[in-house]
Amino acid sequence: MDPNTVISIVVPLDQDSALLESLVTGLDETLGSSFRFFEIVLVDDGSTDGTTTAVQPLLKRIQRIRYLRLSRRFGRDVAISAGIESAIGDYVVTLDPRTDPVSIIPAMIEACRKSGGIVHGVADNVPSRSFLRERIGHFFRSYCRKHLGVDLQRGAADFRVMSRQAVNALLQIREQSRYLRVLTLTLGYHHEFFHYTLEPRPGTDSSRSWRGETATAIDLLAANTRHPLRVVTVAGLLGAFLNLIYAVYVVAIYFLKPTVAAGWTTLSLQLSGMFFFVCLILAVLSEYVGTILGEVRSRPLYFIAQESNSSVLLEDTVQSSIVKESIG
Amino acid sequence: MHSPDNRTVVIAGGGFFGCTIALMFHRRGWTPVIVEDADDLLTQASRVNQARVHGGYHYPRSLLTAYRSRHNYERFRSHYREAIVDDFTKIYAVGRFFSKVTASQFEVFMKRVGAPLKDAPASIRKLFNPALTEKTWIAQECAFDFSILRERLRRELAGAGIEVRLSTRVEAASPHADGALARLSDGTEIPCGLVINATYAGLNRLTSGSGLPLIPLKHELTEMALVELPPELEGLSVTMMCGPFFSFMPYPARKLTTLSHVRYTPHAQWHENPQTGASDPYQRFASMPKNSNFELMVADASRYMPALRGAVQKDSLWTVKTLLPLSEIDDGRPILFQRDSQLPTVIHVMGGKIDNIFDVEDELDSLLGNG
Repeated sequence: MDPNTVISIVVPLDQDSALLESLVTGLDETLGSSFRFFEIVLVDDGSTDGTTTAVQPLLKRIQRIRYLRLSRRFGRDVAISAGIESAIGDYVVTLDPRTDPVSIIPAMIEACRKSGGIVHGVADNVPSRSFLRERIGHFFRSYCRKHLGVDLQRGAADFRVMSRQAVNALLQIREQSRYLRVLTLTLGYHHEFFHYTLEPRPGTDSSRSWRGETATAIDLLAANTRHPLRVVTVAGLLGAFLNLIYAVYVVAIYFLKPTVAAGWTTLSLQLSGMFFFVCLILAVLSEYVGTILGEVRSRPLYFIAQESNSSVLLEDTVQSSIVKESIG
Repeated sequence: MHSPDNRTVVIAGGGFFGCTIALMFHRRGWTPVIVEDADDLLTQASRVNQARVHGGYHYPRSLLTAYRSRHNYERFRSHYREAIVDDFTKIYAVGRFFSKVTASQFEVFMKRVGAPLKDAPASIRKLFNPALTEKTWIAQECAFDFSILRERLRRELAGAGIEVRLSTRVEAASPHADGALARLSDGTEIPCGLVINATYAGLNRLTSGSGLPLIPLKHELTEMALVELPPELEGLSVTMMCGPFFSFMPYPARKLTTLSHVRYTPHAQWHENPQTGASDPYQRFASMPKNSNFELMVADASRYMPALRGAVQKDSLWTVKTLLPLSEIDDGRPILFQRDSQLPTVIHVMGGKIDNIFDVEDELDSLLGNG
């Protein structure tokens, strides 16, 4: 039983009153046997299924529960962020109440203690979806690896243990886009992947529609990388260049060929001229939009992982305070 | 109203309020008798508290409490100068999340109340985590050394010739031709004109012993950690507003610092009301386990001020804190000054802030003026 470390468990609740009692009791028992000080932070994301009433008897019976109710439904990532912002622990654990097993939490905390940084839970038994969706998912993750610099793993969701150092860094990011699966990876620090098996609680459904996933993916890319904008810039410049070539070609035809349809030259020049300008303007605008994105972002440019100083003794370096001249 | 012949007043409770009220009565020509359960004066609530003289900053959502606090602050400072400790820098800060007031609201409120605030210099600002702290200020607030207050009160009581009975309790007050008859735990009975019940947490020991109606009260088992501050924080006192935050203040009597936290200072709470009946809060206090929440206090406080990780716990102060149920709604801290509905010569006085003693004096004048 660890008497010194304080642990916070953040649980987002979205119409989850049915599993509340078993989850909280399970957390209390598992953590109570390993840690003397811990808190269970329940963040109610605007549930309308009587979660508030269901939590009252638990508040009376079990110590160290904190119940935060958001004013309306804000979404899972915002709810988890609210919990993290309020958590006091040396280690902050976040989990999905519908699928994540409570029993392995002490082991994950131990792994985080050894490595510092963040331990991401990676589920080995995520149910497979259609071949096409799996391929797209795989492509998306490799794109993110290349252009966002984040190592998204299949099966990594919200089951995570963050050290206080990583949490403090996360708190400094005040952006609106709060995709924690990516944000936590962009912080830097040491990342570890802890494999586990999902244990879906009975009566819950946690599948997500492809429409929702696609929307999330697009939002994520727009908020975190300028690569698509760069592609637009390049395409714009290329288009402008091709239009220029085409204009030259049109003029050449006009001078070289004897029979050209009436009005073709003017029309073609006008078209290519307009498209040239449009492509150029798009290219320039996309660069500026990219710059705006970078400026509007309100996160620190860097986070410090460690600071060490020389331990040279002053006595060894200062020889004497005698000076030989009064002016330098 | 009461018989003017018997000008003896029995004061149950030898804390700061009880002793000061005794002196007030003495000045108005009465003969007070102080009856205190412990073996010395000022051992309970008057001793175990944050030792803060409230300057009006602490209740930025209750204009009444804040305004009176500021008003009484200067009076208390000049009146009890020898007990005042003000050789530290008092800092107030507003948290970014979970605060019930914003920094600008706090500033406007304090201006309205007349409580001075100065923007904190960079050397203070850098002690705070900017991601979690909105703004910091230097305020004017001081602490008091209860042992010096006690010495002073002892001197004044002796000089006035006021009788003090220690290790004795007023068990019951019953109707009497003179006004009331106070029965003490040592068997004696004192006929008197008035009984002042200034026993703080133990108000209902008197009412239940006398068959008088119960006064609805809320009690909390509270802990304040006594710590030694790290060198970077020496000479500073910080209070974070306004929500589940922490505060640390010098505790002059032990030359240490108290650390308290809105969420972790109360360990348990219970009520005394017609539904629950009376229960001796001191017995409850003695029987409750006392496991320090210092680790949790520091875990949260050090998120805002990382230097607090270096605070070393030396001890903890435990006590029963008593509140009026009405203050649960609006966060105010008024003083109870209530004539008993059944036996009007018994007056219940309960206050949670030491500098509001002057309000009691005003009330006393109107009480005696009417009688």
